[in-house]
Amino acid sequence: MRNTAFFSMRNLRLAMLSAGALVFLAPYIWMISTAAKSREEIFSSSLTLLPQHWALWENLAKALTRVPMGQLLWNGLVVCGLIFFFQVVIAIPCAYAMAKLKFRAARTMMTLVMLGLLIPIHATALPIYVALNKAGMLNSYFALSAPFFISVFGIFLFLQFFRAMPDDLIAAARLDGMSELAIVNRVIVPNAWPAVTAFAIFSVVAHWNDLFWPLIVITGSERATPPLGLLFFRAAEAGDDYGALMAATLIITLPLVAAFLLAQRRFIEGITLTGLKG
Amino acid sequence: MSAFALRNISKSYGTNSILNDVSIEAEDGEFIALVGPSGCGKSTLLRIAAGLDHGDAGSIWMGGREITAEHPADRNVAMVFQSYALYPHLTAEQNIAVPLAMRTLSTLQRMPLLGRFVAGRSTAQAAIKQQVLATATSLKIDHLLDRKPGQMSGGQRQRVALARALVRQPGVFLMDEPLSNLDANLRVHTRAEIVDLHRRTGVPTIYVTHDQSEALSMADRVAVMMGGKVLQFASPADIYDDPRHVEVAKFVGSPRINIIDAVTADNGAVFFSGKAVVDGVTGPAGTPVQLGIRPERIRLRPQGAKGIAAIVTRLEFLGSEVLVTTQADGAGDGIVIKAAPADVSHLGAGSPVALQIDADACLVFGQDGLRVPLRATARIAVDA
Ligand SMILES: Nc1ncnc2c1ncn2[C@@H]1O[C@H](COP(=O)(O)OP(=O)(O)O)[C@@H](O)[C@H]1O
Ligand SMILES: [Mg+2]
Repeated sequence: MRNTAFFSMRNLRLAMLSAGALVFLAPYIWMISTAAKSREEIFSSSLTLLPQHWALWENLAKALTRVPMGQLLWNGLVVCGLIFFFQVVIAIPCAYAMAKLKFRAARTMMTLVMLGLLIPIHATALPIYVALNKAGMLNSYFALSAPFFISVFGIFLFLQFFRAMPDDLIAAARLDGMSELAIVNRVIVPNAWPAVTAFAIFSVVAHWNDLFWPLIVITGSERATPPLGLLFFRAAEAGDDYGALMAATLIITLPLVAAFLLAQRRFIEGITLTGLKG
Repeated sequence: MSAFALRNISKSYGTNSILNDVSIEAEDGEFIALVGPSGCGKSTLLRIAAGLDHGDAGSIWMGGREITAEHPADRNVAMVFQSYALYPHLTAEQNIAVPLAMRTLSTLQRMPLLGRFVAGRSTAQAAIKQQVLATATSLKIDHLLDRKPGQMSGGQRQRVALARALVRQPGVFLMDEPLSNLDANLRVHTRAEIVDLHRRTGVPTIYVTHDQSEALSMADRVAVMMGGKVLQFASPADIYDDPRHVEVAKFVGSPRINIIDAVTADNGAVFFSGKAVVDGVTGPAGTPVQLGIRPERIRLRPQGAKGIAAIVTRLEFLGSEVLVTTQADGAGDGIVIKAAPADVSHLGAGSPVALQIDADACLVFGQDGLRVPLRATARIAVDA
């Protein structure tokens, strides 16, 4: 009887979760809906979720032709790729050293990492901007990505993950004749996929969506990242054409959604398959 | 000159002294067991031997060459860890091949993609593959070669770990409780296999265990370690029959040795339950001592026979033998005797008996725990 009761705990929980999910999804759903409406319908007084006249293709076509969408997506890809690559290349050896090697500065470094976690980009934005400007490197991929190469958050996340790796595994690798670099490459990294995937989600989402930093160091649409491109689009081209704007938004969020759905699977597999215990 | 030697190793963490002047050596082809209770510093000593950790004092020697400062990879030691420490992302075959690949392939040859084009790689790899297969076959794990550690049982993982250590010819073989994660049946079986394997390879071995029966049954020599010190380093028979320290006597042997508190009398006689059981103890009269007697060295006699009067309090039937617990005057927790089932079939709880003890079964220890030597004239004193 308990299982079928309408007001059972299970149903109640489900209802609450669904309501919560709906609240978070609502803007996204509304964006999709708007992207499929014509301009007249958007400004009409009737509020409907499903458009009366489908204008999705026209809006998409406008979004694709009026801004260099391909260039924007490519810029986003390059910047996120560069940032993620360097973050991992720097954070993994650093976290390995702090988690598994004994050296005198370990405590100090730990404190510095904690402090680093507390400092937001906004505090360092101005000096970095001035430096990039002096070096004549504004409006470049380097300006977009370099300030993020060292990720204290990444170091912290990997540090926690590596601490849980058995010391014996590293001892065995040393006896087998591996150098510390080989240990990182051959033992740590192949077993750190769950952490790398988790970090990839944080890093890519944050930098794909970032508007603050590109707005500071980029002026033209040549090196603009997708969110900055959208801003230019709204200011210059679209005016009050919200259908086209939402269609453009849809295009730039789609890669992230797709990537997340794919990574989610890998992420869960990663956790269950490594079998690091025992 | 021994094949492998640890000399006067000391180690402390902060103010906590873990190892205190420990010396152990293994001759060529010798199997050494390092035994002691949990937490006495066995793993720490083994890690120092392997170069994974460094002692505060002391030196390490291999075949007459000092290797104290050498990097683990240069020492040519192989180690089997209690947790096996197999690489989770590699198959059994790849796991076993790692020590060979790291030593025989050059850095260039090991590169994931580039390595394919470097001269000599395929021949070297074929040789490795063959060696891995030979080792796996000798350990009967050749059918597991393409499985990952996550897909193997504890016993199978243990064998792969052994194979990884065995696949090259190390100068010394270190094993840290390799059987403690196996179930009891498999443990006894694998014991014999490890000893066999040792005979075949002849590599000097230091085998760490907390199980005294494992140490006694496998090793050529046993080092008993307690509180960071080696209390005795001798053959299994000497450890058992001629312990140098009361803690060694208590740690080795099952059931445990009977320990009776006593005081020496004139001419060094030791009295138990009002009767002198041994004499010839050196030192002044009135010295408190501990008398140790192994359970199988006491014989049960009918009441009234020569010996110490006692009452049976408990009988434990173990199949081939019976453990008889008896209570005698001045014996504290009781005296345990190991007897043949036929000899005690008529006894029950409460039966009065006499305990006959030979003087040569008596081990006398001083207050400091060290064995007290007996004068050459020591003789049987129980005749009352
Ligand atoms: N890195 C360390 N820091 C502080 N104490 C340690 C460390 N490693 C081991 N110890 C201590 O050293 C003692 C001996 O440990 P160990 O060698 O592992 O004992 P065993 O292997 O005989 O059980 C233990 O009391 C343990 O707490
Ligand atoms: Mg241990």
